[in-house]
Amino acid sequence: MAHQLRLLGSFIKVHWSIHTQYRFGALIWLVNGLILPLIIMGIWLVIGRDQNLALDQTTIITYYLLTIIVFRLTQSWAAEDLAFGIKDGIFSNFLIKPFYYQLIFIGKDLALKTLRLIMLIPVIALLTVILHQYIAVPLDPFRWFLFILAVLGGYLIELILSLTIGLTAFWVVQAYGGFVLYYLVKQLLSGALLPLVLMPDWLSQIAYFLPFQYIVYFPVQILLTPALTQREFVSFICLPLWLIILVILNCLVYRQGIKEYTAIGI
Amino acid sequence: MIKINHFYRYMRQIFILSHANAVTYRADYFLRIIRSIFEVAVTYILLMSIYTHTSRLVGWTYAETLVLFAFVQIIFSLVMMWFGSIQFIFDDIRTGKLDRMLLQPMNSLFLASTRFCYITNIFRLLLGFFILLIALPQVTLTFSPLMIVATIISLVSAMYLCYALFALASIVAFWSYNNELWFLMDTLSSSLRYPVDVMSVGVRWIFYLIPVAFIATVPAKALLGKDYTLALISPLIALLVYYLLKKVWERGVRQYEGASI
Repeated sequence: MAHQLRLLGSFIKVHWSIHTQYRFGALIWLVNGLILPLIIMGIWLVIGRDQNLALDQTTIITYYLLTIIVFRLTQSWAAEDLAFGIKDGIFSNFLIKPFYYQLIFIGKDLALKTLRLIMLIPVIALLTVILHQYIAVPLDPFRWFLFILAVLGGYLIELILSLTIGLTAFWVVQAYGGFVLYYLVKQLLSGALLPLVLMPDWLSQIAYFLPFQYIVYFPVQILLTPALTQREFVSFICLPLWLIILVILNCLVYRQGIKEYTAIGI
Repeated sequence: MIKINHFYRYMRQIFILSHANAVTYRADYFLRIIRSIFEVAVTYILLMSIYTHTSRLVGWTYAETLVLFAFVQIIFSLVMMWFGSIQFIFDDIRTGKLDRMLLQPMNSLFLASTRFCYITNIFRLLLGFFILLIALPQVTLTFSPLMIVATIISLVSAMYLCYALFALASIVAFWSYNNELWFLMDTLSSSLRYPVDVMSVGVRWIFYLIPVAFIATVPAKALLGKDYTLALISPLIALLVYYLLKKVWERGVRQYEGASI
């Protein structure tokens, strides 16, 4: 275990070195992540001026600002990298080395996340200064502790889902269509575009049931609700259950998929 | 005439090759079709959620916003189907594969943009027409020669603009060696499904200056009789951006070093 953690540290360092070379890319990634949430937030604020919505102005602004941060904190790049690795045969390198292949992707995620979040801090600080009278988050340390746990859980759900989507490349070879579809499903059902309470009833019921809500909506909701309700407690119990189910699914997909794997000597 | 024949033969070959490639990865082909449908479904759900809370969004009815969405689908699917491969130019620049294109007896920018035809965009195009068919009977159209001319020229200009802006975003790779700007344009294009008027004045100005607002909102406004002035000046904007694209491409090629693989 200690050996695996040391290796994880090395992967983080390697990816840190690689990605500090592409600072312009990180800046664009940052701007990119702000556009859609801010535009949809603007639409809800326009509607909220004339109509009574389930959320007031402060909640809408806080929700979308937290969404920008949480979406980035739980994001994983594993699906694309793993799928390309399998298609190009690079995956063979991972199989013959003495570590879990997942470590490489976790290393990349952590390095990229740290680097890009450092760039996100000034932007969030600026938005907070501009919109401070419309932002309401609790100061209770216990709530922040739960938020960190929820973000960690959200990242693990996203990582395992991404790895599973990436593993489908064992069968489909070219998995681009799969992970673009996954990204769309995630965007909708995680609450990144639309808070679950503003969705049509049938859709919010589906979204509450599926694990995608843990990627954005659930961590945001921990900080957003004035008092934690039964729904949040139930979600906290369901989160580890979903993790177990997804890990089992991932192992099954891997075991079946590896039998299909072929790569020409590289 | 010879040029048109040559162009037709080239595009036909690209289509045949791309089709062969697409059917090689059948599962991916199928998933891309599902993705096209799901993409429409996501926007439809978003619009439905918005319009259950209001009947008009800054003067746009539900049906009018659907017309705008249909225009986005049609314009983007046509441009991405034939010219979408420009997004991979960053890889050619980084690995030196661009050398091959520069040596061909054809316009290198055109070659870089048309290497591949993204066939699944046909489904996006059909979905766009389907949405338009649903939306048009629900809106009041006032037909006049001005409206018809403004709509047609703004639509054609929108396609030029869409290609030129995406190509510009891609060829920044001559200096940055990555395609992050392409993804930024892609996100901006997702936001075009909503009327630009809904944005704050500052953002609206940025959208007109970049000028992505001319890609969908302006043609939709022309068809719906909301504004003709911007539609009539859109060809000028499109030509200006296309000229800029040509100049940036020439400059990029001049400073390209190649890696001779």
